Amino acid sequence: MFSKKMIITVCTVFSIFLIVCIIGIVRINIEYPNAKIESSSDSIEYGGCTIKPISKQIYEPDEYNQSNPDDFTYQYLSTSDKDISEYRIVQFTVSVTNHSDKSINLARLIGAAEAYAKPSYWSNGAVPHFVHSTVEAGSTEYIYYTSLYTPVLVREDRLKNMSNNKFSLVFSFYPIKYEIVFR
Amino acid sequence: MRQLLKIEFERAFRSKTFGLAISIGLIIVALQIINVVVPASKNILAGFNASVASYPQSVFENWIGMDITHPYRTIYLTIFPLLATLSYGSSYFSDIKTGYIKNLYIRYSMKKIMQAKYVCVFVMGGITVAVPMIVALIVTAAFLPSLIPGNQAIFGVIATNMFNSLFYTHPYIYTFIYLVIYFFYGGAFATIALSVSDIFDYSFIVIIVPFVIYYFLGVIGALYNNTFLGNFRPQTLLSMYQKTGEKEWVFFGMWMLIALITYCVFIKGDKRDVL
Repeated sequence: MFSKKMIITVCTVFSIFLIVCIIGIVRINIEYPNAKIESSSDSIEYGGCTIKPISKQIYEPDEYNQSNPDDFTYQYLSTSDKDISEYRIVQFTVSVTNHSDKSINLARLIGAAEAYAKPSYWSNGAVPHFVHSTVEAGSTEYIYYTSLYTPVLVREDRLKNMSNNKFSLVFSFYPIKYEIVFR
Repeated sequence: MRQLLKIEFERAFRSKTFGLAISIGLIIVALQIINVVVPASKNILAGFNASVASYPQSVFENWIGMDITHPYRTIYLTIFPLLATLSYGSSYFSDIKTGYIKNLYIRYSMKKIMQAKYVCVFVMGGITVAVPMIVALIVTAAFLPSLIPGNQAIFGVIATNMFNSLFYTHPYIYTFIYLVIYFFYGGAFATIALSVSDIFDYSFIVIIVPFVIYYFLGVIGALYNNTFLGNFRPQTLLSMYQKTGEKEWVFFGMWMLIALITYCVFIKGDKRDVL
């Protein structure tokens, strides 16, 4: 078999490589640890505002388009050739109260949000619908988000149990993950 | 059998082709680390603005297995069967050509020789493709933080993908599963060379056959992408981003099919006269 000298050399080189890498791994992960999670079904404090989950509603595309004729985001689905019977539009309503002493740009603060559903492990970008683009100091704004739930983004076996899912909206992933959960 | 395996593995680890195959794999990995990982590690928060639309640089979007913005992953997956075969796949062919197999045949039954050869070629093929990836992962993890992936839009593993929930909760387990898949597929493709060793007269052709089959399956899979055949495209099976709606049974079924066919074809040849 292999000579003892050869085995010792290989083991030494491998050990040195591993030790150097372990030092690197420890160092970088101390410097950039995983995000802390701030998740609540009541309210979260984010960027000087209190964000509260108000309601969540699930629509079929036609139903949504009829009840929101001014929103053109999902109008294209009505004219699509695809079978959209499994598609759903999830509408989330949140309230944002500004506690700071200056107005806050909502688009910048929470313009990008991600909608989640567990245990189907669906997630998709949530489209914000603002009435006003800023929230004045001391005032509250109501914003609704919509997100498309399609078979492409969910495994077939999980699609049917959509109503049993726990839905949430995430506004930031790092260094703190801000999440509001809709009951 | 144990003695035979010992002999085979010693020959395999000492062979120049194994060193060459591992070196090629490590060179691709090193180039990816130098050109992608190291620059990313210099400014981990580059382009990050704390919203869900961005994420700090992390291991799981920058290591070669998941780096889709540079050519290294594609190059690695393209030559995947070549690396697996090059390491020890053509050894049976050269054993017959050089007459080495006669030395073994005097002491062991042909069936045992072939079984040992099959196991050794399989393991060496797997090691050759998996080791550079493991090295890449460890080195990348030393440069970049192992942040748990954030969202589908940035990381691309969507909810219809196999083990999707694992990727967003325990990404190292997801990665480990893929390394195991690489090992088994590397082994399976290397054994294709064994099963065709009797057919061809040149070792170059024996080494290239698994690559041709790999590509042929890829072309058929691409042509019939939305049909049943589209599931069996090795290039997308081995991609950690997967095809939408990839099923677990496809991974196992495809590997089983290759391993079983090559084993049956190769072992069937134990009745050949080598003397």
